[in-house]
Amino acid sequence: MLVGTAATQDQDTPARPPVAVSLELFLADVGTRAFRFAETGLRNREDALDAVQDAMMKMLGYRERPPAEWTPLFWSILRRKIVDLQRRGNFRLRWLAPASERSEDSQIDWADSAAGPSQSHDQREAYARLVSGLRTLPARQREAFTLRVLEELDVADTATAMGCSEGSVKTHLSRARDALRKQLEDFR
Amino acid sequence: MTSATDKQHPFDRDLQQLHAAAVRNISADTLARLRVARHGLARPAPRHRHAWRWIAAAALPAILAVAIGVQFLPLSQPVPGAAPVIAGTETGDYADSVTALDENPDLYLWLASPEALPLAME
Repeated sequence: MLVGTAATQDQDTPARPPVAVSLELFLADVGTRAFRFAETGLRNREDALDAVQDAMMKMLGYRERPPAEWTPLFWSILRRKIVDLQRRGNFRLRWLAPASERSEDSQIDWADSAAGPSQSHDQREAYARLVSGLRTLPARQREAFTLRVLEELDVADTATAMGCSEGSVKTHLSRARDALRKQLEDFR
Repeated sequence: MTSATDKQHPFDRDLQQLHAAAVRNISADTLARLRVARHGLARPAPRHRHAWRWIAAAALPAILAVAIGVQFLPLSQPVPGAAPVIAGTETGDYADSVTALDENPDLYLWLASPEALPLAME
């Protein structure tokens, strides 16, 4: 009985990653994933870096919060920062920027890999397709899928980060998964 | 829908692996920027990256407005010191006259005398 209950809890609640011992370690761990999240939403490398940096700066103000709260708090801050930059981006006069800057910033950031260039190229192409598919989704569906599936947050943390109910997270996730399956047939 | 179920799904698992590869393959330049950003040293005010455009857009009309305003400034500005002198003079004359009348009761005596009546009737 006790074992059965524990097994059920394990299924409902995923094994949480170990909590970082300091905020600096937490930010060091989440930084690259946050950049990928922001890059997908903002379609611009510089804006993504700005969003991540601003979110990190703001997280410093929550240093005293319990470490268990850092993950949903950080993603919530970053999500709001991305929305803010997206709104500001609508007013930004991008045509003032040089054409070279615009084209380079809009591409997916990817390291030049000397070892296994073929595999790296395939991964880059596949990830570009994933990002392209994510960008076609409504923002809420993209957030739900990214946080819940790619970042492996549980439903409660995803709901906290998105500022909505757990039921909404499941609805957005289901719709996002259906839409992505249609777009990414190769991954089925 | 549980997380365990999500993880077991090949579609989710494949995308997780792809995402993990993408996180590992971030360029060295971006990694360096993120590392420096964590310390808040490289770009203390990232939102000012496009600030020069806004500053230029705001400063140019302001400079033009000041330039045009300066051209009208000498015409609209009163002559320094002129108005106070005139006002002071008028006020001073009036005060002197009243003082003179107050100090000369003969005028009022003459006005009350029969000699002033024909003059007033003319």
